Amino acid sequence: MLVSPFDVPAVALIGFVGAFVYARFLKPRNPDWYPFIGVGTVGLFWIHAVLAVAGVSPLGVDVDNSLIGVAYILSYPMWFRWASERAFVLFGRGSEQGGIAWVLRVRDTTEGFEPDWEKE
Amino acid sequence: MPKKALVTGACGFTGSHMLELLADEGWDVVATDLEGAERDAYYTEAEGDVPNPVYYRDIFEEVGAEFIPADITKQSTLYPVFEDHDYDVVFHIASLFDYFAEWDVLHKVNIEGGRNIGEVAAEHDVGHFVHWSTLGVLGDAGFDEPNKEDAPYEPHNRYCKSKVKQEEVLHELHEEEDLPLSIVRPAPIYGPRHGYGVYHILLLLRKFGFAPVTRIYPRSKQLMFPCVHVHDLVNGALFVHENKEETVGETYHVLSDCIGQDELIEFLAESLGVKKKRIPASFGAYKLYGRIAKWASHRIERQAREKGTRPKVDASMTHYLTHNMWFSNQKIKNLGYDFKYRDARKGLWDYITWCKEKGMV
Repeated sequence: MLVSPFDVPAVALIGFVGAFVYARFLKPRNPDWYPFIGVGTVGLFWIHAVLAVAGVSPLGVDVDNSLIGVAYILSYPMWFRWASERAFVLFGRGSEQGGIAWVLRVRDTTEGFEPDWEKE
Repeated sequence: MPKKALVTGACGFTGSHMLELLADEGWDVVATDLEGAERDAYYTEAEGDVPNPVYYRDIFEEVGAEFIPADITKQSTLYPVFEDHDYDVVFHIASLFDYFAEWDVLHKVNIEGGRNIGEVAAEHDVGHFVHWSTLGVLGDAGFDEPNKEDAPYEPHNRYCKSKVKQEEVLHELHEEEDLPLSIVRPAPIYGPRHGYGVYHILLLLRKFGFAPVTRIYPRSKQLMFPCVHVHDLVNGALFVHENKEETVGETYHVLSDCIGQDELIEFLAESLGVKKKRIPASFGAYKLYGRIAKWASHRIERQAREKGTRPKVDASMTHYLTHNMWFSNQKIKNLGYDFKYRDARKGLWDYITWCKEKGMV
């Protein structure tokens, strides 16, 4: 592995939790939060990878240069997206949605819909 | 002189549309329903067993109809509705349409109520009695041909069972008391002011945030979905009355041409702006998933009852997604009825637009 075998699970976990937080709390404030989280997360992991290759990883990670390792690093956005899609399906894509969990719960914690003509 | 009609359940969803149609056509209309306060009390008494009451208090004033309050469960209250009125037709729409309701409430309103108004109508020699039933009195059609009006009864829940009994009671009155009965069996209805049934499919997709478009293989096992726009339904009922020489003693299915469930969900997803997920599945696998979904929805419904509330989607609604509810509308078409929304997608598009404007989806 080029950097660490824990990178992909970490990116996926951040993608899943980030998507939930985005849908429930951040989207109503600014719908651009999802790309911000995605670019920010993947960007941080890539910067760390570059630092690791340069031998100055703040976490002290050793690198093993290989073609598979490069592919592994390039796949971070895909794993972020894959995990966040799972979260969107389970919990919905916005505060007015609840995903599959909506129908399984007796209590409805989602918000109502706005009439179309009141949207900006 | 204008023809005279009585509309029962006039303040409900379908009844209010029937009133509007008859008023537009220049009929002299008498509207009856529970009085507002009585209805409120009734729904409070039946706590947790009924959907949010749909009651358009001002509809009879808006269309200029005379309103005579009555309770079909109390026959004595029906006589003032018929005294001094010579009705050409009674459109009997009043019913408790609720998949979550307990049997005793359904029995009281739909069966005893149906008998009460049928008897009073027969006593007063009304010109025609058009009764609202439901396609749910029939069952799964299989895959060879759609269920026609003469298919055997096979109700799948308490509400549909009560509608079977209601049809039987009125058939008895037709045969024994010469009640000039015609029956219309609507598919699940939608249209402006609608908020129970078809609306729940839209709500489910919007709350899910994605639409599972299940493509069943082999394609010959495709499941169909029936529905009808309220405009087509009330016009169909009026058409049945206008042809009463041929329609008395007959039953008619009133629905748009049935649409494949995958086509429907795909269309709804596009109209509602939710993400589609196409899932090819074998018929066996789909049935298995369907059974799991049905089991889960019944479990959620039981939990809801224990907590004194009701589920977001009534468990019986899943039946329409796991069985081939395929019905023919050929009989009423053969009589000459022309549906405005023969393709359900046109009607649903109008309805979804209305729901969006109201902030319902």
